[in-house]
Amino acid sequence: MKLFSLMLLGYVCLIAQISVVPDLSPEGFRPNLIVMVTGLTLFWLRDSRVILCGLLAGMVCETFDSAIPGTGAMLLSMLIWLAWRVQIHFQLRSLFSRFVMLAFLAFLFDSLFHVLNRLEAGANLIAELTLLLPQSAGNSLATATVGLILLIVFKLMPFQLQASTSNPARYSPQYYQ
Amino acid sequence: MKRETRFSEIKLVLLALLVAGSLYAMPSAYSSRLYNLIRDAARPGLTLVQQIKVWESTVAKPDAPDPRVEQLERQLTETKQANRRLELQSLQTAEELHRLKQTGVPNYQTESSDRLLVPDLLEAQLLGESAISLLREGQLLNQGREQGVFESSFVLESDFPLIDQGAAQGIKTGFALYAGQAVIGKIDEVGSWTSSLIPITSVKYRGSARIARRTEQGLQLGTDGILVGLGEGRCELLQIPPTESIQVGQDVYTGEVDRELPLSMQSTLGQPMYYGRIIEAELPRGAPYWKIIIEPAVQISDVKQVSVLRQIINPRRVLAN
Repeated sequence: MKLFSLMLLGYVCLIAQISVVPDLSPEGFRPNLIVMVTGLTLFWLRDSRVILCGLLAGMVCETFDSAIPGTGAMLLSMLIWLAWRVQIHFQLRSLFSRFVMLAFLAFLFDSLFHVLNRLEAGANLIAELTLLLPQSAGNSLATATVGLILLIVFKLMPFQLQASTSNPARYSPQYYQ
Repeated sequence: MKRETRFSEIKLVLLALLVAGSLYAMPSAYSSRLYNLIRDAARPGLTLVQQIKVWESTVAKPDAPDPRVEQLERQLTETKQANRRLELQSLQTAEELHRLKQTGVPNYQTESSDRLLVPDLLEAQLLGESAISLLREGQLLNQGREQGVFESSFVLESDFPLIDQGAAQGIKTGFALYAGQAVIGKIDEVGSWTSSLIPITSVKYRGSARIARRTEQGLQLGTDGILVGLGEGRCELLQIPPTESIQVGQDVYTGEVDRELPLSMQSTLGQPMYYGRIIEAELPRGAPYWKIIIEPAVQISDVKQVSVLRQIINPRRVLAN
């Protein structure tokens, strides 16, 4: 049920990313809702299936960005795997830590995804990075803000989407060491 | 448990790397199939959003335009036409005054007399594509052959628009055509029953034209130039010397004498008719003339009925004799 709900949310976010986000922010920073849903999956699913979700989300990203095949899938699945390890190690549960995690995830994905797809620019890549990095930072902050709003909204809702934390062993940093 | 979980995690990471590597290495024909599948999956949602946007735009749009707006637009059009009429009257009066100043007023009383040739505007309908195709197919010819109607009675070979008046109604090549006070074109070929016309935007059109300037003394007409069609809904006014003061937005009227026409075909209306408005005016460095582009007041596609200007003998004079 939880996976189905997350897939549904992912589909809604994909449609919103394509059709609504460009209209809402024609010139400014655009949140990456696909990465945001992947981050929320990381917070709520809390098992290794999140790597598969990252793989799927990466493929979706490269489909609609006309990127080099495989770059999005590889990048997002690796980043999600790292984020998952970090989450387990530091037992991230607070809204602030999740906000920071989402912001880092979105920033790394946005900037590295563009770098990977513009490698042919060669020497000009450094010049492009000076323009790219502030844009990526703005996009990632927008992504993290939208994610934070959704986290708060879901927290206020009567049903529980988050993983049960009744079993403390699941959050023990020693568990995966 | 711990080792199994770590093992499955590593397996998933390897799987992700394998999938990404395969996507990178495989021919684009195969990888694009997968991407098309993802795009197809997103299509229902996008269609739904599109429908919602269309529905929103139809709801937001008022059902019928405000009648007050329509009324105001109608009033504005009528006022503009009345203004143009008054401007033309003022032009005629100013020209008459100028002439009188030059020649002087006679000391004896003169009796006004009727002119021998007077203008006569003949109403004509523009023939649509369906009527022309019927004529071409001979469906109308077959019906009229018994009454002496033959193919040569029509001008069917011309690419120009046709009107339903011809030589039988006294139409001759070069006659001017108007829609209200605006010039539409002139007659090209004349058949017994129909005639073809050259629109003012056609590259074949040439006519005399002058620019009206607004001065403190009122509207004043400038030097005669030659108006030629550019073929794309625009005209160009040639041979206007650099000494003329030209501005975008000025009106262009028919010239005093149409050098392209023999004197017998000159306009007998006795008043300038309206061509259109200047939309571009440029005086290139060292050029002998202005480069002036004009937007016609009326496009041929906007009208269904035109008036052909012809000259007839004044009926009063005929009756008096």
